[in-house]
Amino acid sequence: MLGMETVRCIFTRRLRWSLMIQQFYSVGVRSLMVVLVTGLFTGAVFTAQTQFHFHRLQMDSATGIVATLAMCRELGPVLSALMIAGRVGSSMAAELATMKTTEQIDALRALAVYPIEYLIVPRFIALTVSMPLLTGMAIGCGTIAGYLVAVPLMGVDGTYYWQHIADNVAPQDIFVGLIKAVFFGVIIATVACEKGLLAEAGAESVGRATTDAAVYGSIIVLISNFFFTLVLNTALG
Amino acid sequence: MDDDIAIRYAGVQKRLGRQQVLRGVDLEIRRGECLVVIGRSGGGKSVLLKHLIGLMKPDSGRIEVDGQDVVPLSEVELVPIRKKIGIVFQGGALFDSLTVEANLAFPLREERGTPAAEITDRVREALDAVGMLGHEKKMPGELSGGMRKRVAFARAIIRKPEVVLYDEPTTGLDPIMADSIDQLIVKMRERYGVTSIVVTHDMHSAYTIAHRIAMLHEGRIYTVDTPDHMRQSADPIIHKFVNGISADVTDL
Repeated sequence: MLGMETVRCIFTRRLRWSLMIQQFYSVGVRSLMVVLVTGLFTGAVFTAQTQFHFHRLQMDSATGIVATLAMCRELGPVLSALMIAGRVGSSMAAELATMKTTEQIDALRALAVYPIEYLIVPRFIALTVSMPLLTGMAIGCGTIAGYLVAVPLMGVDGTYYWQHIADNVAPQDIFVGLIKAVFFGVIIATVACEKGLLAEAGAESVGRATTDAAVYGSIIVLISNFFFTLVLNTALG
Repeated sequence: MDDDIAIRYAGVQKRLGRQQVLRGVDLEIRRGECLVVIGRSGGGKSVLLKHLIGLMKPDSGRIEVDGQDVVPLSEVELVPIRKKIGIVFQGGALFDSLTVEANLAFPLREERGTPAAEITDRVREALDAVGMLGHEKKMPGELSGGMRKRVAFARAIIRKPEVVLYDEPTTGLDPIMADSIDQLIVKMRERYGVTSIVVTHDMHSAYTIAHRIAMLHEGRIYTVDTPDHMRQSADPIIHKFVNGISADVTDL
């Protein structure tokens, strides 16, 4: 319901650009470090683990392909989304829940300002747009980290490593990851805003909204990822 | 329609969870009058106020503002009603991410088209009216309870509303600060002729500011009378409440 009302508001009411820029900063810029570190070490560890096993099978040349495909299609979008659900989703829910319990949302309505337009739409757009950008950077970092682990550290031939990636990883592999990221952004924003707005009076309720936003956001991301994988693989290959 | 009546509640009922909070409230507030609503804590006084500006919807009944029933109105349709009503929330409900100045300017900026210089002047005027000049750059978290209520008061009046609702404006304040809030309410009433509804259990405050006092008891308006008549009432329910006598003590 909240998601539909938010989308309706985006097209029927004025967009508050200054609030949106604030949210882009809060959601996107301030999450950059978390997401980059996540991408970097996920790419590094996944490549190392893959290379250990593939080396035994004398499949060293496939390490880059597997690691890059995994980063693009699954690890990049899903792990970025989990980090964002924890960092941004919970803080969004806490902020909105606090505003609800201290009657600030009622005050907005009393001042003839529609809270969905003022509070939810900027957060929703900022998260939905930031998620693919952050995911793209996580994928990039993970891929570079994979190269650094595989080539200088574990002795895989650099030319073959890149050549195999270039031959086997297509633009749609990145595209699948970015499409997933957009939907994950929608999911995290919707869950966080709904949990925040539904908070009741009291500190306990704010705490519950905060935890629920992170937990439910993460679980829905993980479950929906399975279905996105099936649908997007069928549709895009 | 009686032009003298600014606000009318008719048969308003509201259930919250298992509790039937309002059981058919009938109440009329005259234009320019200050009506104080008293009653036990949790008795539905704040709920009554919130219904007036559409923050809550009743299960049944009519609530009229200037003859217009606000109950069926959507959020968009409520905008003109909300623009003529200011509300001072119990805890102030100041936006804690904005400075005092930005909190006050907020309703004016939302109207769009108000020149920046006029906004600055009106913010200063409103802060001056509540004795808060010089605190413009402070954040709400830096203010005391009384100061927050004063700023909330200034925000409620900055659009020069026809009606101002006060939700327990003196609760939690020391007697001097409470008296200064009372004086502000009286000043608003006398200077601008606004219609006021004040929810409180502070009887001293009620006697100071009210033209009439309505007592909400068991979800209904038990009585509406002048402060003097309420003070002298022999009715046991009114007598106990206005004199702060609990049932347990009288039983003893």
